[in-house]
Amino acid sequence: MKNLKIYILLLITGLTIYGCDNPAPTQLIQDSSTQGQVKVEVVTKDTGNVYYNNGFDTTGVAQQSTNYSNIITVSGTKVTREDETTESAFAQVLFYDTSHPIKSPMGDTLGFLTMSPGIVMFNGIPALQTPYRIRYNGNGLQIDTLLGQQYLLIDNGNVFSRLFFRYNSQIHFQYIPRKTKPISFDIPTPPEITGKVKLTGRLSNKNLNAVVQWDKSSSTAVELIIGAITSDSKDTYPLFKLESKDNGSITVPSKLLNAIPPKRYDKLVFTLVRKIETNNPEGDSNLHVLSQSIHTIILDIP
Amino acid sequence: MISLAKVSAQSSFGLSGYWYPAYKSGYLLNSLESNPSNFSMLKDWGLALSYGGEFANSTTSNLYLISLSKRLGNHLISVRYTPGYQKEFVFNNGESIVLHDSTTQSLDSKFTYKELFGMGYSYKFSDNISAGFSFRYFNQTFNQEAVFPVFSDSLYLIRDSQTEKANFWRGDIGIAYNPANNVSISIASINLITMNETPADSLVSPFEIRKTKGVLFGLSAAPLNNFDLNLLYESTGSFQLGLNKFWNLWNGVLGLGVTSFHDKFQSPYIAGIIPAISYSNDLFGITFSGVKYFTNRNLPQPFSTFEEDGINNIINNRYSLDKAILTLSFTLNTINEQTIKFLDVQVLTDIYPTLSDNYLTYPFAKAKVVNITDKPVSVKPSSKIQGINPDRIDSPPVIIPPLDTVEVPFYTIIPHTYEREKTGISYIDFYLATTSNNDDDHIQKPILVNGVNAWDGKVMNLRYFIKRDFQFSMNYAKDILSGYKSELDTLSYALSIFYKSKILFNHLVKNLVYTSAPRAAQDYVQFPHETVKLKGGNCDDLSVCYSSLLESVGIQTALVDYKPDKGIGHVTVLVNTQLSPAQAKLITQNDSKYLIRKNEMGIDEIWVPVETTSLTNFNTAWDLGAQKFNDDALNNLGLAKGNVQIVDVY
Repeated sequence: MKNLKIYILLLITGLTIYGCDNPAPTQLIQDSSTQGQVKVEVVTKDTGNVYYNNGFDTTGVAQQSTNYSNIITVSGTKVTREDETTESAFAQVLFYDTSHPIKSPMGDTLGFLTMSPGIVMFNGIPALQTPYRIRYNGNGLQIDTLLGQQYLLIDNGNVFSRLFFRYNSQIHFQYIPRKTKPISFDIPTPPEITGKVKLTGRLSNKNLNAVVQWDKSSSTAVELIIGAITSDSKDTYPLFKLESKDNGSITVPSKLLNAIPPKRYDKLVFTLVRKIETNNPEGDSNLHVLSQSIHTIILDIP
Repeated sequence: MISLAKVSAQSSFGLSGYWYPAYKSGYLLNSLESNPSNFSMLKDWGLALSYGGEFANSTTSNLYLISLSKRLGNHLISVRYTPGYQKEFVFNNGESIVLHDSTTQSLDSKFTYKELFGMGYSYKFSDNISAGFSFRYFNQTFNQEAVFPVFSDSLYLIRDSQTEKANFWRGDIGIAYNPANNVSISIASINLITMNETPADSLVSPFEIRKTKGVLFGLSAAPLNNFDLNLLYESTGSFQLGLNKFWNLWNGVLGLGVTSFHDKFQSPYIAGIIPAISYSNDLFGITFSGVKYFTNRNLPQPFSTFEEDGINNIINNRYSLDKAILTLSFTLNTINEQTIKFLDVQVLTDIYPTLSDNYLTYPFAKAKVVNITDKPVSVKPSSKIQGINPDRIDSPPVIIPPLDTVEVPFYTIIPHTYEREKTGISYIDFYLATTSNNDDDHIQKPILVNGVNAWDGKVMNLRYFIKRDFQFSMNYAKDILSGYKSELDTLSYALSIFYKSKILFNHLVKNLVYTSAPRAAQDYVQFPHETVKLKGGNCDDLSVCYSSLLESVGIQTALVDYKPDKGIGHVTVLVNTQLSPAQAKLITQNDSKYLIRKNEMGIDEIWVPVETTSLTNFNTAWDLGAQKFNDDALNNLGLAKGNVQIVDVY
């Protein structure tokens, strides 16, 4: 009996020592319709500098790509501030001369010299040539600099200008250069996006949560750009870009919100962007066409 | 509207299948899942461990559990440690971050569910009803990688993990009932009590183990010899069905069984089977079992299903893998299983303390004892009379054939130091033991314990009064005879016994008075020293006293028992003069005053009857004794008829 007890003890000890594997975990494939599928990206890495005037978003939150030398942007935008929504539309065309970069005194590339090589029309309405300026922070000073000319058509609500943009439709684009043959094609526009933001908790308590909802559509993705407006200078800083499925809802990771310094900012800016991007239409390898539906919601930070 | 959304999965899953709980005690030692009431036939200590492997893409091995059980009377306590009861899920949590170099990194989550330990308690109300409860401790860890922005001179994202814990206790109750030897019914709760130790964060609470309440019904039956059928049904619709066959082999039982189970959350309808083979004997059990699911569990599983349904059971869910389990159970019995038991105990006689030697020769009680095993059993009976025996008195062992009933006699010893004079009721504890020191059965009976002077009326038992006061008699007799030393020295050796008897009688009767007390069936007898001290007594007391004095100086005596005629009996003393018949004339010419008896060597010796109640002198007492003897024993054929009996003191 004594020997048996010893054998039992040895067996248990041995199995305990050698039996400490963890069972194999089960790998799950992410296919959730409710779980975010959110891609998070920092928009403004240097929050001390502000690059302003993108030409299509008065809040300055939505950003544009500078990877192409020729960019056509059409945007239908709404801005909701204190339950009041104003609508507008922008159409912008930039022709960059990538051989002439514009740099700040610190050596940062701010952009490229822009050109105005002909006539641009949207739905037969000619776009105006206006100066294309950007603002940057140079050693604490807000400095405007002119990059060149841009083609701009602004729908500010009057009867005439509203003709060129319709949601979930298409815009006929025409470019008549001075030296080469004209180019024209249709730009599809995305469905209108209308969102709302539900904030709970308080930033000062580090328990601020935000659920952003919108009228979902069949487009592949929606971008949510989260920005903040400084309490003193009222400058807008785009901070994060979240890319999600166009499924109508996104829960903003609370860590993103609660990391925002509450003393520096007093408003949050949530910009929903549903867009259709087309590269290289008409065989132009340097042409990027961006058609956007934008809804920006500005809220006080609770 | 009936909602079919959240139904519980199989909660009652056991890794070794489901066996008839009463058949062998080892099978259910570790299964609080199928046995929430902790029902077990365990007699003493039980130790069980399950070790096995999961057949994932790579096989892993685990110690699933160790359990320890102990029965204390009707209480059974079990504790178990379950390091292998865990399930881990790894998945992309849906978030990714774009780093400064434009590369994308996805964020992962790891959810781990563990049942760390549990305990069960049950109380056996009777041989066929047991009820109890169990508590099990669960650990849930939700580890999620998350993106953390850092605001400094520049804004950047870092990836870090955060862990939420949601530990909880689960408590259930149950009752098991055996309406017949081959049928067992049980009913138990599922998730009756769940107490959160640390509440889960709202973001992870949807992923907690489902705790749907329910009821578990169990039915086990052995309709045929060595075959049992077991059904475990949950109120939510899940069930398991076990069929087992047994063979008696190698002093144990070899079992072969298969349990199939239906789980609401798993497909197909019969989600899998648990084949098992088991061998057990009185000392240990070894069970090799496997869990085989009918769907391929090594394929990638969608997160959406996990998100929607979660899991209800850690070791059996739609993500569980095929397993092979080796379960060892040891029954370290320090308590023997009962093999024999009393049917009845009959106390044959009251206790007369002075008749102590009698109880070594004749049983004072007898018991009907049955062997309830299929093997011969050697029974060691013992008894203890309260107030008399400081320890148990063993009686001779008895061998009882299998399943047979025998009569077991009980003997006892009354210590010579017992002095209590009063009669009273006491109790006897009767014990039955087999090979070990543990009792198989015990029963208590009342008994009348008489005082030391009590006598059962049997003249043959007066000898015990004669012997008991031997030391007093020896001193008293020697003291008397020493006064006659010179006279005795002048006598021939052949006559010395006769004259010693005469001297002792004459000296004794000087101070004695006969107290007439017709002897009834039971009586009170004085010891010699009491007779001397009280200066009198009846025929029993005087005969005992005189006989004791003679025996103490080596003179052989016998008692003549004149049995009661019309309720009156009488006792006289016969003294062996050791004279031969030829020497009889040395003491008398009347041959009717003595009788001749053969000694052990077959030699005739002269015995003289003495009527001790004649407190005159020896010769008169002798005459009266001889006359009484001649009349009753010889002339009236008392000896032949049995009305008169001569009882040798030694």
